Amino acid sequence: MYLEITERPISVEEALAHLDLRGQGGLVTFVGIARPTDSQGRPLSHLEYEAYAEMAHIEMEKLCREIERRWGVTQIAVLHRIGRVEIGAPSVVIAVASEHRAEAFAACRYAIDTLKETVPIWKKEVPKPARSMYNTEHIETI
Amino acid sequence: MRVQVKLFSLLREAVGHSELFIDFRGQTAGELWEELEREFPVLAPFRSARAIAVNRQHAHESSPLNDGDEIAFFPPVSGG
Repeated sequence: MYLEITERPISVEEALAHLDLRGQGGLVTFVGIARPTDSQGRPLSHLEYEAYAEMAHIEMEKLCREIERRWGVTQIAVLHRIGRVEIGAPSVVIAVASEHRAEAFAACRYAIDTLKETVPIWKKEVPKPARSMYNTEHIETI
Repeated sequence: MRVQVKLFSLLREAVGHSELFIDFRGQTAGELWEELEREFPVLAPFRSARAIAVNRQHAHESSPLNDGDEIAFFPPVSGG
């Protein structure tokens, strides 16, 4: 089990580096990505994530232990970003490897669903500022 | 008793503090919230949806408090 809450960019490759794939038969990953619009379709500039880090670790550990108990899966990595996350960038990466694919799919699904319900992390949607009233197209950018 | 209060997300923004130390005469997390709400009336609209943790474990209004406890109040989580 590998858990991390970080301000750095995260990736599937980074999550996989923390798993031992020897003896495993299937690997399932989930990547949550910062959406460009809010629930009303308004454009967003970026997202800001905040965590109650000490408790978030405890809750993430609990969900991994539950996965181990239910499906016997031990190879799981959960990375969650905090701070500013640009649109299109991963905000959460979950990787689960197991002997057979069914357990990996079920455990990965359980991990993201439970994380969204129990882990104290909050997303703030920062709206895109209204377009400037001045025409700036003629200004050269360096 | 003296307790440490942590506020997150919209609650932190409303109050303007992420952490407070409070000398508290009540007994439960719900009573502590009421005291906070008296001090910071801007918290009132959050009452119906806010969650509580005591010493980093999910808790509820009737959860008993002890001297030195760390109590967190926050809106519904929205990670992922």
